[in-house]
Amino acid sequence: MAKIPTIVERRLRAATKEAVHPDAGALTEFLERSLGEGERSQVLEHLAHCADCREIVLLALPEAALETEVRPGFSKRWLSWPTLRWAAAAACLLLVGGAIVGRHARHEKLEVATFTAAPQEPDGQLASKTIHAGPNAATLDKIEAQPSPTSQGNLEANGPALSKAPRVNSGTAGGMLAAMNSYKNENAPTTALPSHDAKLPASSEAVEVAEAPAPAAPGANAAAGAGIVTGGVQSRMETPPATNETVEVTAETPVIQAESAQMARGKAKDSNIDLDNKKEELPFQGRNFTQLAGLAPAGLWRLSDSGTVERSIDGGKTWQVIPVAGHVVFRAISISRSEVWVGGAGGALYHSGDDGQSWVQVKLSKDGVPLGADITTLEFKDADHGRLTTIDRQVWTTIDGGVSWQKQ
Amino acid sequence: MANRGVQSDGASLLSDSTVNELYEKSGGASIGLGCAEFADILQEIAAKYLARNAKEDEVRAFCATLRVEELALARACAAGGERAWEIFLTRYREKLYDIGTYIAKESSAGRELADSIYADLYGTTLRDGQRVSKLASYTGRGSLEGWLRTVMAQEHVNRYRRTRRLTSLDEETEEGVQFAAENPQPVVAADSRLEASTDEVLAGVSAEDRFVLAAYYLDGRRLAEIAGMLGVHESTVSRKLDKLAKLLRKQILAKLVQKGMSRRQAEEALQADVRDLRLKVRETLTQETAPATFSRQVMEEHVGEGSKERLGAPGVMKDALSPAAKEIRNPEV
Repeated sequence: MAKIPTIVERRLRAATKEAVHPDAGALTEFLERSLGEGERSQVLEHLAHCADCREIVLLALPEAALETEVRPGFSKRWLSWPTLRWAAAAACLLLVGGAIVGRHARHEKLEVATFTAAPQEPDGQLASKTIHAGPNAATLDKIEAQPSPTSQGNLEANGPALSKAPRVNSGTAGGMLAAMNSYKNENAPTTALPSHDAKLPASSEAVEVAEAPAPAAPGANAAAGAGIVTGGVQSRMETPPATNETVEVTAETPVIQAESAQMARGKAKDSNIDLDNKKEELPFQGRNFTQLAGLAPAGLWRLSDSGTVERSIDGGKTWQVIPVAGHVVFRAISISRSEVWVGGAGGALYHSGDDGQSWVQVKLSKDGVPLGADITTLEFKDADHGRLTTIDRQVWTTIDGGVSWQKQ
Repeated sequence: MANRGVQSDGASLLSDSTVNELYEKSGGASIGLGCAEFADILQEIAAKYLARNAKEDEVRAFCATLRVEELALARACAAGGERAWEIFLTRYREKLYDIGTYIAKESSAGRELADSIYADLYGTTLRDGQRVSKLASYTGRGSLEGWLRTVMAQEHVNRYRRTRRLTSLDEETEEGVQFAAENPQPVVAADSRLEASTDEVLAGVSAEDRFVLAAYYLDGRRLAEIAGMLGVHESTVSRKLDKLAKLLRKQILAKLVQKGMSRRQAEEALQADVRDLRLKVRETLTQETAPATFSRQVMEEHVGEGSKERLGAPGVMKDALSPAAKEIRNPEV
């Protein structure tokens, strides 16, 4: 990063004004990008001079925003020196290999020409010796005498090497592409959500919940870990049921009768694809699984005022209603990676393990008595540890990702 | 639902139909907030953010962007509604603890921070016999959760400032702080044209760019943090910083030449400020033996950058040393 002259740093530091600090509301709106252009400029003008307010803004920024703001499709590791070094080496090998193959092909053409130019016996019959023994000796000598960039020995050595030379798009990343494809088959597609009619309310009053885990959860790293964590969670979801299923879960018995994880839309047609043939169609060829996992559009979730579940994949500019259960008014939502839990009136609890593609209703009951109170809070610190509370102050917790729940 | 009617203090910015519609959406009835009170709240907020002669459509559009449900909840809590507090606690109690832990980076300090905020939110202080609750200042323009985060962050920063102010000199000595000697006067006087040119160029830079420069170079923030604050990609911030560094240098040089320096003189002035060299040497020496923040405080005072000098260490607040403390500390006095 280019450095600024020290005098600039000093003058920036010196240019501090005693000004009226923006109130909490203005700073919140600044962070949530809901200020008008003029107001935003004013807040920025103040922040440019006020270290305290800059500190406040940073502390008020949800931890998730530090991750989800990183636009998918770009990973710093792609530009790191080790990766670049190997990519450069692979490119060089490719060039060299291409040059050698090209020359080899030219040599073969020359040899064929020599065959056809072989002298005939005076009686017009081709000497069998000439035909079967190869090119005319004199011509062959001429060929061999010509300087060749690679000797025959080298050609032979390079031949097998060429065939083994890693191709950038499928060699070095071949195993990873297979893993990527496997990931695509087993998980939600990384493409955009199915389009819904934009049933946006006139206002956007709702609690917005970022997709990454709650701030207290340490070590969250959406870009690098999303795919791996998701894969781990998904491993529990083995059977591909229909889009919506009802699961009865009692408080103490750690059994879920059926789990979700609807498969990717493209699974059936993608399962047998030939990687080499399909690589041109893959939008992100050459990237590894972790990088591709980070390419999924980061989403924001919220509950609207009327209790519907909504999601935005463009940073909050537009919102789509996610159909979960049409009759239920939801009041609580918790997101952990692609695990989404929503709870609402009458003890309604729904879970999606694939970023909202499909939902499973989870019915909690204890001693045969189902949970009927409104769920008012839901919190999952990570994919496994969750907690919900109800309007009548019941507290239920899970430590296994919702497979079993215990009433506290 | 009763019609509100026109307020007695003058023309209302809101029509009854707008108020009723928003009141229904807010669910205020179920949490003990009356329609009239809700209308007053909307009126207050609209008056704060809109012009006096704002049209009905403009007001309606503005109110439509408010988070009326959260607004009603917050204001009902500020008014002491029990039902509202039940809902608020159910929804936000654990969130506040989590936010506190995230801000304070430690769970017990986080809980303490959250508990102190609760007192302010509930309104334990009285003014003219009325409870003063921080929730009364929530306007519904941003999310309530985001607002709570910001309030907690403000409280944390204020506490940090208060704590720094109360740090005793004995504690500093025990920690091995050494007091630097007074800086000798620089041999070469700094060219005022350099400072003037820099100020002029900085004045021409946009507020957002200056914010990015300050956050990166003064506060030492990471690219991801700055990107998060602005809602942009990290690479955008990186490119911006690179571009700004080059642009600033180019423009300052141009200004210096305009002010009568030769190109060579301008480049020398920009590259080698004697005070900078002195500062760098001093910085290097003091960092080996003493906490950077405290030593840098002493250094910065003597450099005399101005009455509003800010400390360069990330997260360190304004210099809060009392004059008495400064005198005791300076061995030359």
